[in-house]
Amino acid sequence: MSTTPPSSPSLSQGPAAPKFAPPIHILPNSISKTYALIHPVVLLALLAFRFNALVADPVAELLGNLPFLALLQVAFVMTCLPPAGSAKDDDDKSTSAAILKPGKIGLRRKNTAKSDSGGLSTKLIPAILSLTLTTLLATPVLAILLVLFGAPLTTHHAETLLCAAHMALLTSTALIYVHGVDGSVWKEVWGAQRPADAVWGAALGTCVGAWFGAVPIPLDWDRPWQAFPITILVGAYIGYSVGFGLGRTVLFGKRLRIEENGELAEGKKAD
Amino acid sequence: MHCGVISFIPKTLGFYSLKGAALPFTAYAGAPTVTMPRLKAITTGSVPSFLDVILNIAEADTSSTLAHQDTWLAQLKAKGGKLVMYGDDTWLKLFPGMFGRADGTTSFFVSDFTEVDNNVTRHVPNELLQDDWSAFIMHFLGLDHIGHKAGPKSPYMIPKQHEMDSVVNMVYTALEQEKHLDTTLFILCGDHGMNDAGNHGGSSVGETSPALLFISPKFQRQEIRNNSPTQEFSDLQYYHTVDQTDITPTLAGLLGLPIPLNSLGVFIPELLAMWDYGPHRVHMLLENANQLLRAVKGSFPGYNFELNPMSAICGPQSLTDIERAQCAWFRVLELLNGSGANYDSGASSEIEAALLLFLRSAQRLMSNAASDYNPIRLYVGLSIASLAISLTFFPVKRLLVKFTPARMFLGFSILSYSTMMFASSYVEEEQQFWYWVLTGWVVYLHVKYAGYFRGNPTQKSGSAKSYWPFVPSPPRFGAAALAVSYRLLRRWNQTGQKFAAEPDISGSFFPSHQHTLWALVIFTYADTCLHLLFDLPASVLWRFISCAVTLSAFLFKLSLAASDSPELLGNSFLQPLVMVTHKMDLLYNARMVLCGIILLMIYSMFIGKARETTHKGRGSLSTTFHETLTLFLLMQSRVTNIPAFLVFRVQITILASMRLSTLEQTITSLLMQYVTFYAFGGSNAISSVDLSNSYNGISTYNVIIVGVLTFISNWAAPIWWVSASRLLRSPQNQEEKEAHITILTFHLATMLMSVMAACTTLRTHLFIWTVFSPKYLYTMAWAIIHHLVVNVLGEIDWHFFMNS
Repeated sequence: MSTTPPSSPSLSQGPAAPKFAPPIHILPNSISKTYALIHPVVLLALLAFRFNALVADPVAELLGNLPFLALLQVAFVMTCLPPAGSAKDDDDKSTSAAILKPGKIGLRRKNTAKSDSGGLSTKLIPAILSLTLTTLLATPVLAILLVLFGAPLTTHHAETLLCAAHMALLTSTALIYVHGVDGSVWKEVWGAQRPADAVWGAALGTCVGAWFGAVPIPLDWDRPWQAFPITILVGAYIGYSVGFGLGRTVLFGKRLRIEENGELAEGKKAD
Repeated sequence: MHCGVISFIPKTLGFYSLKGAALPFTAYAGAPTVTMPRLKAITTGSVPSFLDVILNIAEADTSSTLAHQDTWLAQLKAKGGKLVMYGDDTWLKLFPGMFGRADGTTSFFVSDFTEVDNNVTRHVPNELLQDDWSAFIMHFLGLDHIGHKAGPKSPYMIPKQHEMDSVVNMVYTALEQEKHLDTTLFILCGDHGMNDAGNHGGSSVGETSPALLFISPKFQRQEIRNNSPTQEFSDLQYYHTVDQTDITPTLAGLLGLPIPLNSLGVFIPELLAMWDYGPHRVHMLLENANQLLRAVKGSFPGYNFELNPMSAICGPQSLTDIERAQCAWFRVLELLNGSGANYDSGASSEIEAALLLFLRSAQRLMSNAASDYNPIRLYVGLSIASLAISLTFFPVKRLLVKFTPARMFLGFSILSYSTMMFASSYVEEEQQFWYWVLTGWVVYLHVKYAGYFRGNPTQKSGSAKSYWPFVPSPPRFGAAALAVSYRLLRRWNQTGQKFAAEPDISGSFFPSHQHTLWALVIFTYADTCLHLLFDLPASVLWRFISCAVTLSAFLFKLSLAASDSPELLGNSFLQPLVMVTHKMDLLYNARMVLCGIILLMIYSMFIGKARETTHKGRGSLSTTFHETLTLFLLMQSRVTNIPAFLVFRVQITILASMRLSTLEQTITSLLMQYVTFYAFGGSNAISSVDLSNSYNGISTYNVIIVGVLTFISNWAAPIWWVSASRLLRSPQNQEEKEAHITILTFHLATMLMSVMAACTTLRTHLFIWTVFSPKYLYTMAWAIIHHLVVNVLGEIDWHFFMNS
């Protein structure tokens, strides 16, 4: 998995290719940086702690953990990430105005200086928005994707939906929080063309992890944890942490490349 | 004493009253659970080799005969007895010239449920009145056929079992009433069971647990009462479980014959009760033990079985199987020496127990050791496969240096496939791997071709221009539509072991939605016909011919379904049409369709030639040929699989619109060939070989034609994709075509190598005969027939040869 940084548009076959929205940095204060380290570990610990209960009764456990996961994700995005519209990257004044549809959510205050510690409402409102959209949009989309990737269609509806809800919280909460409903960014997401950062890395990692999570299901070990959503979910959580870590460190700013004459790319496994 | 064997598959054991006149068992039938190896086990008492599976299918082969082997039939005949056989003609092939009277029934017309059994039953009353036979074998096929065609829950199943009950009743009544049948033992056994889908060949508990019943009015004397129906003590195990090979020494003992030389059976202890006097029973077991000991000594010449106090190392720490057998034998010898020559009834029960212990341990030892290998040949095969890999590796490496992301994908797929071949569950569930990899590939195609990617590739335009002139520019949701269609195919047929019985489209949806099924089937035929008309030149004659061929092909499928699987037609709107076509002869109908197809194929080559000379109309040869081939493949597919060809059409249209690169086309073609094989119900188990279309248009058994038709009907979807991807690649130049074949060959060589390596390293694995060996047979079919004949020969430009 390696890509070229977007700063060097080495192959410019397409004339005037659209500019990518820049990768997202974790907020540059010590609390954010520390919590960004802890957060994936907390999620994995939660999974490990509740694993036996998850195997025993997946539906109840997934449902019961959903509020906690939502709370953790909201805490994470509010602590560590810049909310949509607050982009203070110097090269991005023009796009930041377009990120939020004017008048849709009154969030275009350019309180760049305060955005680190700033007013709670500037963070709370995008957080609530992202949570709402995650529930209403991302969960059904991921449920459909899960079915397309082989989840049962006629049975296990609760499992599929709850697994999708967990994956949506892992992938979409942060994405919506930092990007709002900017169509061009979501096109990049749908085309898996975002430059790597903690948010996108975690989202892609969740999906790739879920894909690899399907591997142990056909084994004839007859273990209860081989039942449908468990391995997928474990794969998703592990993929989240790995993608999160890689995205903000070694792969930061790099992008999936799938051109024939490019270098290596890892574009096959994402969804 | 006379004896009779009746052989079929009773799955539900709750038939016939066991008023003390019968001894019931579950007789373990080791894999491969197909008829011929199982008959070998029942008659010789030996463990059959895996080669017998192939011989079972190529049953005209006479190399499988048991004429020169030691069986209880041969022993009985040598003693001057006369043998009589009615039923499955496998017996006649196994024992040529053995039977005084016989009437064989060929077992390969699986769709016949009644005639195969009536052909046996009609002889039974007459034979029961004769007193010249010493063994009377009845082998009923109907139940097996119902299982294959419609599964264990078929509505035909219960009436058929009642019919079998009435045959048992008839025989038992004769045993009670006829004086000359006074000392006759009636044995009722299944040669194998069936899995949840009604097939057999593998090692699931349903397949390996047939019933065994010894019936005689004489047993009533023994005061052995068994409850019926009874509770199974573990999965499908009722009463006491014995081995199917145990039938041989038991019969030999009861009939007073020498035990066949290669028998690995153990006299069934319950039947020892037939002898009241202890020493007789010991004598019986001792004969069995000596025979088995000879077999053990033959296989393990290095071990000493003479009682020698110095060599005895039999402690509580039991070691290997052979040492356990040794110790058990020493114990027998000690007891025999201790009691002297005249073992009275007190000592005899102890000796009996020791003998049975020895017999069981020797049986276990020999069953595990029954396969002998020639490792040299295994290694020669492995080296040839690795030579093939090394020959293809460098050209492939050179080819692939340009296409990095797709190359990574191919490498990833090959590597994971090769490792997977070493895990038995992944071999059983191979379809899951292909479905899984395919979803990854769809994501790749999505990312690349969804159009969000900047610098949209303006590669080779003109790809797929000739065949699909109206395809739109890369559809944004093309890959998503592909994903939906793949998800649909994935559920078309549940296959493998673990999820085989789950509901699917062809097994659950279509039988309950017959209107939908037949509407889709008609639509598929109409679609093929339209394509054919579109490709043919505007000549009234040829249009008429192609319509007529399509129509008769459809009518053939309809009447075949009406006779084979009426449950698919029960109340569909085509019922009136079925009444009309019912009078048509299936055989001649099939031949007519085949002639039409051949005519169209020959014609397609000629118009291709004519067009080539006039204008550069590329692809026209392929399309007429492709559509005609499609018609043939539809004919060779199960009715429920026919609508899947519509899905294929949608997929190939989307793929054509994507303008894939050379390597991507090759990977797509490769993936589709494997995915659709499994989506059509194929698997790596012998039991999934579909024989229902192997006899289209032929009246007698011919191993070559039946073999070809069997291959085509099982590989119909991969063959279609080879042909379709050839069209997709039709604008390619010679070099690219060679690259395609090179990559396919490399993939196949690695696959072959990994399967062979897995079979070699795991040759002592518990599942070697049930999982890995069938996989190897399938790999041979993929390599020799599908790759060499379909892929490589299909790539040759026959068109070119027609011109020159």
